[in-house]
Amino acid sequence: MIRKSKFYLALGLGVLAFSITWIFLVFFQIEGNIGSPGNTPRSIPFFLGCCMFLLGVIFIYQYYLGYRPKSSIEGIKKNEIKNIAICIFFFVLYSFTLEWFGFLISTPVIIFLITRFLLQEKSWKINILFPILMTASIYFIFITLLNSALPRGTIIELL
Amino acid sequence: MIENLIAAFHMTATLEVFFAVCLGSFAGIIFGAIPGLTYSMALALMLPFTFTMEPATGISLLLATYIGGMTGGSISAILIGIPGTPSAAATVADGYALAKKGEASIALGAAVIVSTIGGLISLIIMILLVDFISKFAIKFGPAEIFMLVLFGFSTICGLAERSLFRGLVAGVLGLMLMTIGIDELEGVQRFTFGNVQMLQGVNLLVAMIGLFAVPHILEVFLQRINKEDKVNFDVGEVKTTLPGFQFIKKYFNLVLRCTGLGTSIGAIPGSGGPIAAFLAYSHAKNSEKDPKEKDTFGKGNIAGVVAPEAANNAVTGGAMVPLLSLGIPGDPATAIILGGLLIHGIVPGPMLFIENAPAVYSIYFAIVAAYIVVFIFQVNFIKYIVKILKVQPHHLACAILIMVVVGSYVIRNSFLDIYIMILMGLFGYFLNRIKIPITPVVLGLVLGEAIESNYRTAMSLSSGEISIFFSSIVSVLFFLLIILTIALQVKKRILEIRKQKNQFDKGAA
Repeated sequence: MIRKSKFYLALGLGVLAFSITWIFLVFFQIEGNIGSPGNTPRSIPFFLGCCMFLLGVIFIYQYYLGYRPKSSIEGIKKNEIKNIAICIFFFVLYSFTLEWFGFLISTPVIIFLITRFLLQEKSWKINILFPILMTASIYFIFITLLNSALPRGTIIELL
Repeated sequence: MIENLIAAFHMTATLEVFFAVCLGSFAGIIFGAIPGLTYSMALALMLPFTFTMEPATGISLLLATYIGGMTGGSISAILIGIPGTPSAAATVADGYALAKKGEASIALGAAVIVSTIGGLISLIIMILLVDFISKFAIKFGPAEIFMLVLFGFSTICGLAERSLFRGLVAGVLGLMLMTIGIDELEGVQRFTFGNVQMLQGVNLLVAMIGLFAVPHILEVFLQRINKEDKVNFDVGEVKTTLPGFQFIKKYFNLVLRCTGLGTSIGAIPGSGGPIAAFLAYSHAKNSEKDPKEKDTFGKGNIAGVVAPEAANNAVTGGAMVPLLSLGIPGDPATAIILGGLLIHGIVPGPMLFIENAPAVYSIYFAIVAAYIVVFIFQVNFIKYIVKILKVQPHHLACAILIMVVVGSYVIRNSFLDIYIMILMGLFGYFLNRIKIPITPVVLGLVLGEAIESNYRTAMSLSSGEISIFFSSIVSVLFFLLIILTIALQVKKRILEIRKQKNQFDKGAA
């Protein structure tokens, strides 16, 4: 018997937990007494939940049979989670400042913060010019060429 | 027919369409040429640009991006030995060997000319097939369409590059995401948790932007933070040398065969460019009768560039067949193009020729224009295009970050969409990490509505009798094909496991 990989066990348990939560939500989040049996707004979501449950069982069965993934899969490390959280923080910060301060103010500031502090870019030319040029180019494309609306910022509008 | 052709020509013969084709071709070549960036990502980023455009302009932009991306993949494959797109992987062996011998310009020239010939021939095949299949498919009822879409979906999940079951998990996840929001048939809220903004559900375009672009941005940022960022590539002075008539005459037969192969494979949902390119490469090698010539494959044989490049560009025509005639996208790129068509009120499927024939013909004109522009760009501007390879990946990632955030916002002028895009991106990143393919998630989102609406319409017509799905030969045939697709994949996996087990037992002994 080949050495067991815990990948399929973890995947199977994760899929099972997700499918059970999904099926639970189907009954609490969707009105059920509409339409004929097998043809209600719940039908497809419920069926999908069952499919997912079945797939979870298959993964656990694969684990018991000693199946291993074709290519090695590294676990997610603490450091990686921390770094992803920092990146996502910048994403969210950009979205948040975009809402309050608008595109023209938030974009150069956030891109400067990202290049300087997150990506450790040392060249001042890139840190200063790159955010300004990118902001100007996107503004030109969306506002001048495409007549789209970019966020003006709640605070800026109030002022 | 002639009236529709004239109307389509008027729609596409405008300055706006010309600029859109140039922009799309350029963006496609760049995203195709840079390893790590994909033309699917370029298409997802281009989608928000098409919102305010005329339908012909917007669709031309997307098609040119698709074609440019498919062709551009060969640039880095030949010059630096790293395929810009998975479809160009088969070109690396001989293309890079030629570059090392100092014949990069000949390889680039051969790649661009056979890409154009292959793409244009596949367009002709596509025109004939789309018309034929549409006329046949127009007779389909909801039960047949349900089975057909389910078949398309099963092939996509089954042929997902890693494993059938992980492909199915991804596909089911995509279908689940599609059910969030208002149920269109009964008007019932599903998984909205009482939030008014959730009534609209997960926007397909926002999800695609998040799934395709954000994982790449995160990967590049993490590599930079961990000081593992890839070096940029400086390939020096490069030019494209077009081969002469004798070259085309010598390889025309091979190009024709590989184009046929690429178009057929492209028409099968879920297969796509890499499979076509590798099969064409293998065909070129096996069909070589001269043993000495055969030995040069992998060491700089120009046929090893001609065959995969003709085939992977022919895939573009093939992939458009199920998209236009049946409304089934075969890969992420055509799924995004489908999104673009829907934005402009063009609903692909059997009725498209009846309802919007000029739109179909304008697509054909746009594809021809895109191939011509991509050809001109690759021949004349290659030395400028390769300069982009020098740009640091994290600078490109910053530019993409702005585009994804702004692009997600302009779709519905909604800040919630930006947050959903970030969530989808994070979700895509973790799926990548545990080797669950993203393509079936996107196709689940795209095909989900067709699957559910046709299932429920068929059930309503039959008063809840499930036998409606087995009442015609067509639907039974598609059902058998679904079973066959899954069974073949399961058999393949079992054989792989047995092989793995035997190898381990031998090692242990």
